[in-house]
Amino acid sequence: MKLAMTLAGSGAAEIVDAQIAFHLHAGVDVVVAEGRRDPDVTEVLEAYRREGHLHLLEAPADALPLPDRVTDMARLAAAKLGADWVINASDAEFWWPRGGTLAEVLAAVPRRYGIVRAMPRYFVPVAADGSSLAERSTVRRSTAALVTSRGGRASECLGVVHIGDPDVVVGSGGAPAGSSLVALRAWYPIEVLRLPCGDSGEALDSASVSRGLADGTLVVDVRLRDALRKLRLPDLQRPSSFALPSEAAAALVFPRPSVVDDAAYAEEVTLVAEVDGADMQRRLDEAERRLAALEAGFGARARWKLGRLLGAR
Amino acid sequence: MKLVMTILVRDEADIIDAQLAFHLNAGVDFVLATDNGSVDGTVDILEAYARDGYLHLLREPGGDYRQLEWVTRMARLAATDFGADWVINSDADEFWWPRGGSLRDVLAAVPERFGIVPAFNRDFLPRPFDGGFFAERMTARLSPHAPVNDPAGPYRPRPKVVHRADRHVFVARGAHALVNSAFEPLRTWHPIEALHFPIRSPEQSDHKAMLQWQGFVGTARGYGTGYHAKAYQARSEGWSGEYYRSLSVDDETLARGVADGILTIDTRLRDALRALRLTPSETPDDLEGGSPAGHLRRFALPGSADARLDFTARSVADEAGVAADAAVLSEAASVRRLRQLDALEARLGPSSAPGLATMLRGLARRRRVVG
Repeated sequence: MKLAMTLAGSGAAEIVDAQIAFHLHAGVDVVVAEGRRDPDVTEVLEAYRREGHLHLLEAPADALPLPDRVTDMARLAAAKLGADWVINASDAEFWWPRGGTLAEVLAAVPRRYGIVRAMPRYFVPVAADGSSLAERSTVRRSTAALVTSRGGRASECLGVVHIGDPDVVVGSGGAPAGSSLVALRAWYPIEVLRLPCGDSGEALDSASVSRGLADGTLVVDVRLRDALRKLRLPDLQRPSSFALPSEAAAALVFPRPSVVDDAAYAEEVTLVAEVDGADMQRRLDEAERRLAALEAGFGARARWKLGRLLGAR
Repeated sequence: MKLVMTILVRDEADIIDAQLAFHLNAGVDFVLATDNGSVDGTVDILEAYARDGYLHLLREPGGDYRQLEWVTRMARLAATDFGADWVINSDADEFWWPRGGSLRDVLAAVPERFGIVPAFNRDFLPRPFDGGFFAERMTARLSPHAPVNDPAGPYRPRPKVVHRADRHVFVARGAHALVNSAFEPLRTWHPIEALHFPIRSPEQSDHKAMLQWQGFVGTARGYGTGYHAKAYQARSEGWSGEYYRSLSVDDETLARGVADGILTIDTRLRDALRALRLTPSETPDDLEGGSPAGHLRRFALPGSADARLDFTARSVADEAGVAADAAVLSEAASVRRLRQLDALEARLGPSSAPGLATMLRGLARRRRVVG
């Protein structure tokens, strides 16, 4: 099974480096990325390309919308690189598998599903203290708070992984648009940890963080910080600050959640509320209407008449 | 009223004796069993019950796991040849626990217009294996506040069904439903719980993963559920021990789960089997030492002693808990319907054809990327 990740964004070299290193250790086989204007980022991307972990495209034209650029990369991942699954990620996203590597988690998804959703985890901005963004991002919003802030529409924030498809059209949010792929609903075997980038709002002071932790709107989550600490190598004589997958001493471990962990996680999944009875009824009605249209079509009518004719004989 | 249980087994010697004895004492009148090539002593146990007149044994030694056909055949035979009024289609790892009376009592109370009674599945979790009897070790069961809808997980809430006898019945996979049945299901009352012990020891779990995968690969569908695939993957990739540990609960996890209300200590089956277990003085002479694995009957048959099981109704708090569990079951059913709807829409294709401009743009992009 081959897993590719497309990478787009405008992050600083430090976060792009961490992002690529993390995913290569988490089970991504190859990264497809666009060239960047920032020479430091370009240097990092080139370094991974030289090591054979990254396929680098030319920087896109300014006018090309993001979904079109991601579509190009996702198609290339499938058509040229033979990707079975594709993650469309941005610089500040870290896709965290719940037990096993990303590849192992996706391999366990029943084959009838072509899209897997990821539970969003939004880390809150805190004041810069000289450490890296990932190092200081250790507090995130709780799922309940996320649902409240999105007015009950948290499912719109879900991350999306899809099977490799050379004809895929990626829409906004990284999800295939107008696709017949079936999404695995109401269970998210991957969490997508989203670090605060430029438009994430004002940094929270320590009093606000304490208050949020006390009332349950914020939770402490040090998984990413600890993973990157494990991968970081001191005094590297290369643009990247992190170990490569071949440097096995730094292998990441994603423990399989216990039954109790999964049951607790199920409560969070339910909060995202993908199951909407009214919407299901609307979709059922629409499916019935389309089925009726198919049944009334020329081919169906011809088959029916032929059947009657043969039956009459 | 006659209640017949059907059961399809393969290599279940660690549990089948307890399973049969429990149900015969809980209100089942007769058992129809199909053995699918057991090699671990299961057949010896089945034959012991057959000799005592409680069981009829069918044999299907082939490697083609025709579960639907075999279970449906037994369910129909129950109606046509064994005079059943109600039928339970059970697995060897399920113990159907009636709430408030014997199985016969609660089914007799079902109004005539209803022909299907869904039963709660209660998943009991494995504990670190110490070689002891499963029911003595496995007294923690999952009681999640929300359905765990992981398609590769073994603990998805899903009811099993008991049904009135019908010579034309067609039992769906896993006996979770009947296909095209005219019987109306009684959805709002749950008088029976199916206490479920699917994973009992590392060795049993590993062996079951292999058997189930081999069985499903041979079916028309060609593969099992996500759970079967994952269990087999763990086995074939050499991490079945880690897989077993992820499904079992150690002391720390147990304490946390009980504190959070996600796990419940439930000793009903343990206590019932203790009550049924024969003392050395009760063990019939002809049953001693006859089995290669020492697995022959170790539990009392009905009528061999005073009624030993007690199914009296429990507390109001327990009833409230059942109502909450019913809500979780209902949520899980909604998710299944949603996934079915997704699949149906995918088969119907996109709801509108793309415009000419979109198609041309897509073609141009494809040339740029692939060309």
